[in-house]
Amino acid sequence: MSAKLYAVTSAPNSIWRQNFKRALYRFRTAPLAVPALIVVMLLLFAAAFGPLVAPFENDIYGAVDTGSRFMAPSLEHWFGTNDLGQDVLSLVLGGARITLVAAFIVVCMGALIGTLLGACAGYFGGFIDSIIMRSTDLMLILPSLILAMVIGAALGAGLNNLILALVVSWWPSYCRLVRGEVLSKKEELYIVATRALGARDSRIILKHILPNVSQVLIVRMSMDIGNAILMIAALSFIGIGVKPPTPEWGLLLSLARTNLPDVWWTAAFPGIAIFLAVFSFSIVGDALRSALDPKSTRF
Amino acid sequence: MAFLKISDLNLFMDGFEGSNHVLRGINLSIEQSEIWGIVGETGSGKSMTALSVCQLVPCPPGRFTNGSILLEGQDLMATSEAEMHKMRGSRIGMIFQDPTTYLNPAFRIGTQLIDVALSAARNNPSIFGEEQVRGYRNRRRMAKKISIEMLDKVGIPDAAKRCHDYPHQFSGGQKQRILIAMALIGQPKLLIADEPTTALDVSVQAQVLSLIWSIKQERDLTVLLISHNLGVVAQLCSHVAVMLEGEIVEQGSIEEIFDNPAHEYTRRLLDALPSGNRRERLETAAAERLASDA
Amino acid sequence: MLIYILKRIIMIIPVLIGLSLLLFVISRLLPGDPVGLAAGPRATLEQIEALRVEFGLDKSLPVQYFNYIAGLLSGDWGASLITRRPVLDDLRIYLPATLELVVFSMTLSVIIGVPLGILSAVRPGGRLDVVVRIASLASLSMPRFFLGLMLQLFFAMLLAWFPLGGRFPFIVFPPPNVTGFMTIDSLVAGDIQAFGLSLKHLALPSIAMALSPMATILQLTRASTIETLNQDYVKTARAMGLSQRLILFKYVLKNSLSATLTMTALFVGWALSGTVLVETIFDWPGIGLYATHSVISQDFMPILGVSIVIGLIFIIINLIADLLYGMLNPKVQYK
Repeated sequence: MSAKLYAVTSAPNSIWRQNFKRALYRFRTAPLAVPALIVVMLLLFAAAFGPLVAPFENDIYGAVDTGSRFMAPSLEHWFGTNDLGQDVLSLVLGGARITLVAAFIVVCMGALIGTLLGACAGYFGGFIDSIIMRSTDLMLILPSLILAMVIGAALGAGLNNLILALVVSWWPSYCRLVRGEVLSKKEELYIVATRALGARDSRIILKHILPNVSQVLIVRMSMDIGNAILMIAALSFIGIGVKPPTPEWGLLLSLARTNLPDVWWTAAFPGIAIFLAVFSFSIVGDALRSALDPKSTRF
Repeated sequence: MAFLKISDLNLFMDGFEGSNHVLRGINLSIEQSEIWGIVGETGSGKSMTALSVCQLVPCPPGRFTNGSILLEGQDLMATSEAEMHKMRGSRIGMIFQDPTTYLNPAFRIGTQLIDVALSAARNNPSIFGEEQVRGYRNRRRMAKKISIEMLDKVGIPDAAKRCHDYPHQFSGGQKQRILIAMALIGQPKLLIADEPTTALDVSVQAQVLSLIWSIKQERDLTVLLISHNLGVVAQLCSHVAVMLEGEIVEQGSIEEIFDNPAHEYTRRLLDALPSGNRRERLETAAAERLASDA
Repeated sequence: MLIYILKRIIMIIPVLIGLSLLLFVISRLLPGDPVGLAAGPRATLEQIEALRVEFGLDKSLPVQYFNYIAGLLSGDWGASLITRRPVLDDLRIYLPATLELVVFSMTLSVIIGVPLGILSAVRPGGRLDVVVRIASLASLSMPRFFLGLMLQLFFAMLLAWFPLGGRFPFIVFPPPNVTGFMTIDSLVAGDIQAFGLSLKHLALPSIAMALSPMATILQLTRASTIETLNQDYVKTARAMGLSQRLILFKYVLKNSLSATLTMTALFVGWALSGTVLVETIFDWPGIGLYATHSVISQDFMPILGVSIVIGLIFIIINLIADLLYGMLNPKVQYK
């Protein structure tokens, strides 16, 4: 019995490799997937080493040079300078770290909390299920931007509060997703067999159910990073998130508003950065989905 | 000249793992007002033959390499989709296997019938009778009238009222009758029936078959009946073609084939047919299998 | 049918209670300081203490919640610190502007999104499909506030085709208020010029609002249309000689719409949150702008009020979607 079970839960190595190859092929042939992946890599690079490669590193930390304010894009300042004479390219590079790290934290924390609650709700059912799911439903009534706005307003401004507000409004959708997956996985034979062998609940959830849910989860998370970036930028734009001089993209955009239309570059480049980041993350997520799910229809 | 003549029809289906030769040179010649049955097992290409006549094979993945389909002398393979589109419903009617899924669940059956009648009337105004019907409103009223007549003819009781019902409010047999009404409302000369009775109860099967028979007599229809059930074919058809793996292995009048099957596969099909001396046949079949195993 | 609607309306009540509980919990239990927020940054300690008593915050939590609910029900939604008016009165003024914007932009996104979704479903993987799908992903990735700013930059500042923001020019007398919708009001008054002006003001914010729900609606329509096109009854319709246009835009549309509808309603609800950003950029005097102003000046009660209204609208839209779903799906029986 246990030998059979083993055969079911872990596939032989060669099939693994074959699947991987097929997934890689499907990923490569998805439209725009490769350029988008390159952009994502560049973004990750900027997040890791942005301050080091930035031409005017001090500008990221709030250095002001009023002598060189509002300079149009040139060879020295590729993206021009803003009202404080700061180099926009450096600010955008520095902003990559803040935005991406915050987005990663939000998605990972949201997914973690949502997965645990969703797995419990789906696995145990009954009373626990209804408590968790009812509160999830409630959280989903309010659009997450509004919910985060309320929480952010209650907590006050600041990057940490922004992240907290987003995490609180982020987990419900994961909770619902994982619960649905667990409900369907729970009835499958290998789980029933594991339970018949006397495995503990926590072991079944962690060792047997969650690994099978992970694929769906990874795809969802990769597509969600873009949403998180959008949300962080939006909240900063409204004035809930980070405060100057932190060079967050949404904040840069909101500060640049007053200088339009003559000084277009202070608004355009942070905006383009947000767009490119979100766009590439969604394309990569979409390609990942079609790579991992053989049944998905390709576009 | 034959009413419908299929010659050397070849169809490939392109898939992930290479292409699949689905029809391997089909030759078939059907005269006016004959009822032809095409029998064969699942995947033998009988449905594809039927769909080819309607030019409804999805391409791609389907791919015709050569062959022709002549309907009253017109080559359907060379006919444009726009032309083909006009022929469907007004010159070729088609009904399908599962009446429950082949009717749109979201529309009243009256609406569906009227739309078919209207579009058929555009190509063949005579279905509205001798006089010319002018104006959208009048044509719609006329379409409704002949829809109700048609429903009446296929044996839906209380047709005028029931055309306001949705498909799920009818029984399986009634749905197939409605589909037949829909296929014939444009007064086509050729009716293609793809397993029309497979999804129905045996008693209902007989009713539907006799309905097809009576309408055929009345309108001098030519019928192409696809079935895997030799019993059905025997009841209804004048001629039969037996298909196996994309080829017609045997064809001829029903008496010829049933009395004197030439091909091994036809013989096996006939053996599977329940009949008076079935038990005896089963015994010989078992004996043969024992002999071949040993 | 009537009984079903009534039942559904009654079922809203527990949801509303839950929503108020959620907002109450956020406002009271989070480490923030609602009194400090409400009193404003310059309040003295005595003022804060007085407010604490006035708000009933010295009482136990259940009592507080009860008072909060009683306040909501009796129309006392607290007062705004900036406008110095009851929140409910403010909402009454700002809500129509938001609704006009939402209705307009949603209509826009449905009118464009549904046909494009259907057309791209006809040949999945075809050239049109790939272009449309990438364009829709791009629109989903476009931050509304950036799009709004760029629209403003090009069409209002540089080309001056459209006004920069607001609902109506200050120097012109607005039409008398009947419905609160500028466009309808000006038509009611028979003032074509005012109608044109209000449309002009609506144009840019609507486009900025419409883009991402349009992309979502497009994707949903595409997916369900592909599914519908594979159904047997589409084969019947083809075999009966119905035209492609009739099949797509009558038969397939109804089937795929009923599947899309519930999801679309959900996204319309989510699109409401976009008003916050778009109204801020275009100075559109709706509840979104009201909310951002309140956030910036740490005025908490209006934000609560706005979220209750948005939650309510979301619930109502879902109810309507459910009822419409039943109408498009004759098999659904109302019980």
